[in-house]
Amino acid sequence: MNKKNQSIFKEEPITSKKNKSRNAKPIKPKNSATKTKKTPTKQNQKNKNQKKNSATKTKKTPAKQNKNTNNKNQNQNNKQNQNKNKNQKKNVNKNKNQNKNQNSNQKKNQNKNQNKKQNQNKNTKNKNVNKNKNQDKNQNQNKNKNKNQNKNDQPVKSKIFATKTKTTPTKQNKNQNKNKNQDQKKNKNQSKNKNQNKNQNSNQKKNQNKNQNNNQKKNQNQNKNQNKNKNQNQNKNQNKNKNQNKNQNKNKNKGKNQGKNKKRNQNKNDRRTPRRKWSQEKIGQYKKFTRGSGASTQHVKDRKLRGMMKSTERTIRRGALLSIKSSQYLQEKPGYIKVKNKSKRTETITQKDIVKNIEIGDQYKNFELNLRTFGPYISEYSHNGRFLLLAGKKGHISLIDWMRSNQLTEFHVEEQVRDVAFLQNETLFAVAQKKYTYIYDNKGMEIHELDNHTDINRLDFLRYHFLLASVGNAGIIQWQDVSTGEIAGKAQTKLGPCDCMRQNPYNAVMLCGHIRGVVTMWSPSVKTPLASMYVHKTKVNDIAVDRTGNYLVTASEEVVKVWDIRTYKCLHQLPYLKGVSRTLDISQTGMLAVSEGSRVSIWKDVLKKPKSYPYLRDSLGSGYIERVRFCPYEDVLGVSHMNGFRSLVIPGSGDPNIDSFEANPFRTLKQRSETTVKQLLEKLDPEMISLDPKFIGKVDTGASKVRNNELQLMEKANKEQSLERKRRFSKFSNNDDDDSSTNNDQSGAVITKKKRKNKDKLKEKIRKMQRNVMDQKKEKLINRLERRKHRKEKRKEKRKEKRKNKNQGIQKGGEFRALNRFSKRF
Amino acid sequence: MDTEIKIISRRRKKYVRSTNRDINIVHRNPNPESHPFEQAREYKRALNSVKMDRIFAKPFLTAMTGHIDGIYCLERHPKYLSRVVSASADGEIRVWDLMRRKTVANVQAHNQFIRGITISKPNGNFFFSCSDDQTIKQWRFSDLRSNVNSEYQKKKKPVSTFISEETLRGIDHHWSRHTFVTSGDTVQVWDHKRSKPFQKLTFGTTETSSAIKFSPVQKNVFATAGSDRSVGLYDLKISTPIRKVILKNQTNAISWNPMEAFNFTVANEDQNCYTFDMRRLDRALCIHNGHLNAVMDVDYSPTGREFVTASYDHTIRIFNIRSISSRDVYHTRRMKRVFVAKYSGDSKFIISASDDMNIRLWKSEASKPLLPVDRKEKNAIKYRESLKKRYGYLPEIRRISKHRHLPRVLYFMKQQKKKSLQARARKYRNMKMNNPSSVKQTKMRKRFIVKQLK
Repeated sequence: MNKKNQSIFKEEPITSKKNKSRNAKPIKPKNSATKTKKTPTKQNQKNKNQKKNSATKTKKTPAKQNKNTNNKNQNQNNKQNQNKNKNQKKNVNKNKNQNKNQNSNQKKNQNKNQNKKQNQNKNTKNKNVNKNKNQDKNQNQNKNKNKNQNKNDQPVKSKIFATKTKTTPTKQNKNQNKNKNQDQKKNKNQSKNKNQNKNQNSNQKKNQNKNQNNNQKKNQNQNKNQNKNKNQNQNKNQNKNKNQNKNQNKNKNKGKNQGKNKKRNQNKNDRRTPRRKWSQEKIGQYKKFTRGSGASTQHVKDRKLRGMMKSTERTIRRGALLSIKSSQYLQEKPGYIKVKNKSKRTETITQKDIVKNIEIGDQYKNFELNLRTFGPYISEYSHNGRFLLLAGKKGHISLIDWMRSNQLTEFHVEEQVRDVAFLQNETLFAVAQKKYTYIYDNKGMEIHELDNHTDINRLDFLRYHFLLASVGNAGIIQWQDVSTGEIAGKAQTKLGPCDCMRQNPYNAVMLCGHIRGVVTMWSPSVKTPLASMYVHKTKVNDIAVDRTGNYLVTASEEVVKVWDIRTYKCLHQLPYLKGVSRTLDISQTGMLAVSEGSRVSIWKDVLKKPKSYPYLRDSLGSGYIERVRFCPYEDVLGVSHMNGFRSLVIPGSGDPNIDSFEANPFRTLKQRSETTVKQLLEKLDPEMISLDPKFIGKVDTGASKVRNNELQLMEKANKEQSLERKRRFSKFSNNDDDDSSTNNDQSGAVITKKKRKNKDKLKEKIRKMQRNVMDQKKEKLINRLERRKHRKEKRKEKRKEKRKNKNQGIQKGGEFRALNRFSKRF
Repeated sequence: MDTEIKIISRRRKKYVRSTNRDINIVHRNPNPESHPFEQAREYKRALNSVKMDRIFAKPFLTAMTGHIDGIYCLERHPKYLSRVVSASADGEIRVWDLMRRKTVANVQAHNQFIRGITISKPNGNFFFSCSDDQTIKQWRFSDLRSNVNSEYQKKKKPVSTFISEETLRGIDHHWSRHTFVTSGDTVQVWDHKRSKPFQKLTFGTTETSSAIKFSPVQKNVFATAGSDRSVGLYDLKISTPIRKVILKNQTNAISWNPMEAFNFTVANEDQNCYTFDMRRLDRALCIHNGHLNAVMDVDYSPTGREFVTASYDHTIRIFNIRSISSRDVYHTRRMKRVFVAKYSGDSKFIISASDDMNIRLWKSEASKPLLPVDRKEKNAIKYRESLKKRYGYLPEIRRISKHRHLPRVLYFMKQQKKKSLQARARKYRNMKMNNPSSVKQTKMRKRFIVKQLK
């Protein structure tokens, strides 16, 4: 490797290590000023040696360790399989094929492993080459056939097995022998096929593994459905394995059972939507792009509204399909590490290895800056990932275009620096200094002194709201609108000094971690926390929220926990840490970087499920890490520590595809100014910050509930008031009367007279009259009542008739005539 | 090597244009995770676009002067977009070119009030004018085309003159045949070649009809508005009146929907417009309110989706055919009582003529750009439209998009009207509650109708 070193900074205290810069011409290293990788310190040398040793060890030791465990696993698996196989013999089970396939896959993997071993030995022993070739051919055949058989389930399983199976060849053989016996028994019926397979068999016989033979035969038999094996195949085809059925259906020879199966399949296909045919990945994408299930239109009575809703749903669906299509044409693919030796953990891969394996043009991404004088450094990337802001706690600040290794500005504030934050773009950044917070521009000029923000420990900028949030030793969280200068919100946390604050990028809610182990969530429009979680028993060192806003990771002394924000529940905690974790960060793809004293560990896919070991590791050797930050849209992790800054290459950590209108690392100055204008136009109000950012445009069902509750409360209160009044009145006026009623009152029951349901004036009048006396008036009234009844009955009859007529009329009018369209039915 | 490692590496070429003359390369990522606050930002964009609409709403284009008296008749040419004929109370007729915003030709056609003009639709070479002097004059466009010269004026003569025995209040030409109808004491049907009407139609009563309009789709059908507050339908084929409805107030103008053959809208004296289905006149399809004084004219856009109304309250309003309230209100300080408003042939402009002797030209969409827009801007406008549609129901956006400035007097009148309507509704409600038998329940859409005659 040609490592050409270049000093980024002209001044003495700041030195740099770089592998190779892409654009800038290499300058000869100034050995006096810079300390480079080529001239490492003794410590580094030691570390290197250690690393080497460890690396070499790890190649061997884990393999040994794995041998035992894996063998055990395998044995268990095999035993299980044996049992299953026995069952199969007795009863023609539906699961037969699956088990077989599992077996076959297992063996395939074993073979693979063998292959690898042999490949490893290639260089030393050339004798095996021919054999290997043959094996490869056979394996290819196997692969193809297996693919045909099991598209859905098996590959996943095979992966699992792949990780588990690594055994010494002798033990393998033993296991294989066991399998062999069973398989041979099974294959007795199939032995008639040997003639056709002769050629293949002859090849296979050269190989020492007879299992392969058997597996192959089996696969071939199953796929080809040869005439002699009809019966067998038919039995097998009772399986629910769809792909097999499909293969069957293609064949012209069909048994009765097969026919039935086919029918079943067809029916199923009819019922299902075409989405069924999609891959899991595509279904996931579809769900993502439709942004949740649509509104159901079934219960909407208004036809016009229903039509509108349906059409909007249709457009949403169409849009989702289009964006699936367009995402297929995305230019970049995410980074990855593929370890061919499956037993080897990616954890053991060092930065050196990574740098060796990536393209020369990308090697500049791994670099180190030795900045010893101005002591523990903190770093922050701009939102498009192109600019890096470095700040030493002792006052040194520099703004770097790290991709072009170009320093934009560097200055010394001669004061303590606690935190830095980029504002809307790289031209402005805020620095929390000893007393006040200041805003500087990219030339290093002081633009503002924010004397509202005193004694600040942490700063953060809400990009879409143009709010600079700060929290400090006073325990006050404050949002200031950067565009207008107004203070958008201020709240007292009342939980003591705070030096841990991050934003939830999903909903712009600020999260503070406190000394008492509590995490609180804040919105500028609410004076109290939106939510607070008791997270740790000790002080919360750092928190981070992932891009989807679903997961929260908190770090305390030596404990790192993963939380689900939606349920406020702890999902799991990281298994072990080798030191105090001061900082955390979550990348765009959901990778977690955790500092452990002087080490940093990177965890992949750890948010959803627990992991036993990290994806990658790195260590400084000495000192401690002050801050880790993933670079957005790059596979880079910035680690700033006591003695400077280190940029690590972490494959797969960044979002590979940029959106030029969202964050464009290649944007020109004109584009920058244009986007700033647009950003300002689209500035969101601070009131819009809430736990659910999608509340805009939704029907506020909560409001009606609240209103109803309030009404109920009011009614209750009114009743109580009236009851109290009654009580007082009764006490005051006549204490002796109505003991029972007062008792009732005391019990709190509400006395209400039964209301007559149908208040009828006529009836009431009649009722009021004396019962025994029949006078003219009463007679009249009774007559009127009767007449009314009569009228009512008549009306009812009429209505019935009308309905009948209507029904008939509709039947008649329902006939379709060509001219009907010109006459509206009224 | 036993490990394969790949990291994101972006080629500069893919992301940066090669020369300054190229278009900037744009990459999009549809992943919703990379677009946080989607809803909120879209809402904000919708709000901005609504605000921008209001800022750019400058509908008034020009006022054209020339007439010496109030203009009460205006007709657009069926073939040429920019040609318009107007007639004023002093008997002068002017032909206008809207492009040049000038009078192309003028003629002192009558000595009295001109009640109506119509352009012969089949070829568009002639136009007819009828006046209080009981004559109808046929004019040829090509005869009039010359500079405005008083000496030459005398030479400008009508192609033919028809003398009516009755008073004339309105005139309209058939859409394909060489016939035209005039309204007055009776409806008279004339032919180009005959000096006397070959047909006379009445409902048998002694009413005079004013407005008269042929349906552009069913060409033999026409509607009249009578002084007995009636709207009547006639058919030339069967040479009898079809049906008639009497409203509470008089109708000033009628316009047929060119796309929906059965529907027509009438401009009523009671500040409302009513859209009717021709087949059923006992109730309106829709009531359009908003004007604060009598509606003098109504005209459908050629698209059939909107119509414009001119009112005595100095304003023009544009209505969607299905909506109760107007989409837009146009007014200027100098514009007095508007008697005619017409859509242009491409539905992009509105021409209004008013008491103040001016013809005014308006944009039909107040904030739309007139100049041709390029593809990018077109897409941006489309995007904004869809956002407005999506978030239009939200209170803030709705408020801004609906807000229209009205002159002070009209603003107070509007509020007064609102109050009085509310009071009436309250009274009705109370009566219904307390003395149900006294209230005759009628639907709003039937309330303004007195009776229907067949």
